[in-house]
Amino acid sequence: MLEVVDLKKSFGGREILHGLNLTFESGVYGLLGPNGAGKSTLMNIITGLLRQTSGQVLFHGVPASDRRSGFAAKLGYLPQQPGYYKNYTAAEFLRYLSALKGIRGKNEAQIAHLLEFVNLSENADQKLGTFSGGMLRRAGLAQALLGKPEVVILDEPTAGLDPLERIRLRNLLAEIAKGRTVIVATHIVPDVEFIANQVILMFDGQVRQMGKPEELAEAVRGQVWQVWTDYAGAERLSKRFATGNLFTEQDACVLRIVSETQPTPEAVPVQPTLEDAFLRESARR
Amino acid sequence: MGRLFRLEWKKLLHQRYLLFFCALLLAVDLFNIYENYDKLLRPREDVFTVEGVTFSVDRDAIVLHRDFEGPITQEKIDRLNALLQKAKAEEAQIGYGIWREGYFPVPGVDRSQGERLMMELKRLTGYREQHIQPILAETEKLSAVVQDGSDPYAARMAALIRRQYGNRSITEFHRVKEFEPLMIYKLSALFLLLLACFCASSLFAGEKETGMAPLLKAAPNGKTRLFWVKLAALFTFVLALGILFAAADYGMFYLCRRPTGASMPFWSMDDFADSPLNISILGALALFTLYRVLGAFALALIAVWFSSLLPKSFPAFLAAVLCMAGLMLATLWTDGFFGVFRYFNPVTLLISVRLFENLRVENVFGYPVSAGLLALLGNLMLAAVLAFTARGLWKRRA
Repeated sequence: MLEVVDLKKSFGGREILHGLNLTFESGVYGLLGPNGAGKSTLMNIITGLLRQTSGQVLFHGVPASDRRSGFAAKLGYLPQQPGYYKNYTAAEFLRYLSALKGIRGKNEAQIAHLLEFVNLSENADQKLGTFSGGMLRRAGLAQALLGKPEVVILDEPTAGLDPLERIRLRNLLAEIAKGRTVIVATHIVPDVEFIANQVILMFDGQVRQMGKPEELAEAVRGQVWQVWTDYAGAERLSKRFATGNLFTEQDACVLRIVSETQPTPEAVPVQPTLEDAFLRESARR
Repeated sequence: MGRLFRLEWKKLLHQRYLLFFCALLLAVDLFNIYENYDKLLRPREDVFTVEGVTFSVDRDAIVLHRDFEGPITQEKIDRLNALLQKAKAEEAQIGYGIWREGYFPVPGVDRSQGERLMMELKRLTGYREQHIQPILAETEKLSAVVQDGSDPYAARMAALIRRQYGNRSITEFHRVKEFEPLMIYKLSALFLLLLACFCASSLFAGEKETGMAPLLKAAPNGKTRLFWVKLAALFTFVLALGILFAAADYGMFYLCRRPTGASMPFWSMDDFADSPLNISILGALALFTLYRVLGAFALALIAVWFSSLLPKSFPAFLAAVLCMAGLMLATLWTDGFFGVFRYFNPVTLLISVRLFENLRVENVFGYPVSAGLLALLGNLMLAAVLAFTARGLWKRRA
């Protein structure tokens, strides 16, 4: 179990994280928030890359920074911009990181298994410099799973990927969550909507909401509307209300608006989604 | 650790420009050796200067070398004496041959004509142990003759010869001609320094450029373990380069050898001249290579320092090279131009700094200490200190 207790972080007098309290058990946790919400800062503190101003990160009750906790050995991490050695093959890269993680003996079987898991076994002897963005992310995921970690932290794992690669990666994440704590920090709602057991909505260094995706969506029932209007009306409404989708249909604009009150008399309430919950919190900033 | 070590080596070998620069510098080095050897045999050429050593080439010198082959006779000693007298008379003039004044005279550091003859005598008579007594007697005579204001080093050289022949059999150093120029040749030492700094900066600062720094930091004991593995890979790589350059230099000298057997005046075995050890030529070559490698490694550790502080590998490389340039400039100030180009080695630069007139750090302890061995030990200590401090810096800042 991983706990974050009253965690604060300040940079140059400005508070980035405001006393966060979170508990992570087995399953997938989606840490959802816009750019600048503090997600990466939180991830960096948990992984030990940054030191917190105050508060603690506990792993099974022991401070994660303490060697006795064994957290570093049980952690798998994929940073926001993962690096790689372009002259290494995929297999060599995993061997290098295995050695770095202190995994004893040759673990060729595990490396082969992980490459197969992320669908890179045919590219095992190919240099990383020739990989596409999606392949590099999958290689990054494979290295994060070396040593069978208990906690896997993925910071914006699908950033820059095409839709097909995003779906592929998302499916992999769902598989790795069995018996593990997986924390996915992202600003892309669909990345976690279907795979996360718990979603944490984070804005301006604070946790606004936490719960199952369907619970968070249900919390905004009656506040999500669909409106048909002309272009001028669409422009006016989108300036006034938090607007999700906007598309045209037979010379009319159709808007999806999140508002506690009915935005127009013609507005029709619709089934809420996680994205609507995200929009509502975003509008409250 | 073995796996990490092999993979760190692979990183070095895959550096885009490293192998190219190695090949280029090796080619320049070998060409330079060939050129020097070739110029030695050309009569009446202008004096060719490289790394502060003046190679005087002319017919008289070649004749002198030829004539002094074979057993030393009284007649030859008399001839040498006469040449010395002539050199003394021509002291103020710049002429050809081995009697030429040093090209870069600086106050207090002039190399005199007499000194050159003394060194030739030492080189030639090194082959003939059975004639030591007459040579020693003659050396005493010569040193009395040349001991005046314009021969500040002649008496020292005479004392050196007495010490060498009288007490130990280090004369093996003088026995094989081709090893002498090998030891004095300094360009490969400079190249080794540059390559070592390049390797260090790419291996350490390069991690930030690849974006791997977060993963390395997050791994358990990643940074500590990795530091030592990288250092081991760096040292063995620099050692391999040092051996490669030494072997290539030796090979080139061997290829260039001429039937006349002409060779350059003997200089840098002075570094080991006062050594209490009795080692073979191969041992001397190995020691000398290690001496250069350790010096290069010590400077590379300075590049490792800067790699922790600077974001990219090239600035770290440049910073280390500038440190070396600073040391060399300091030596230029105190020891003259010869000093700068003689010692491409951080510790040797430091110990060859003149504190006062005729007082060098190497003589502070009051007994003959081989500059070379002192530098070797000094570099070991310097490397150890730098390694541990660099580790702390890398752990905190990289």
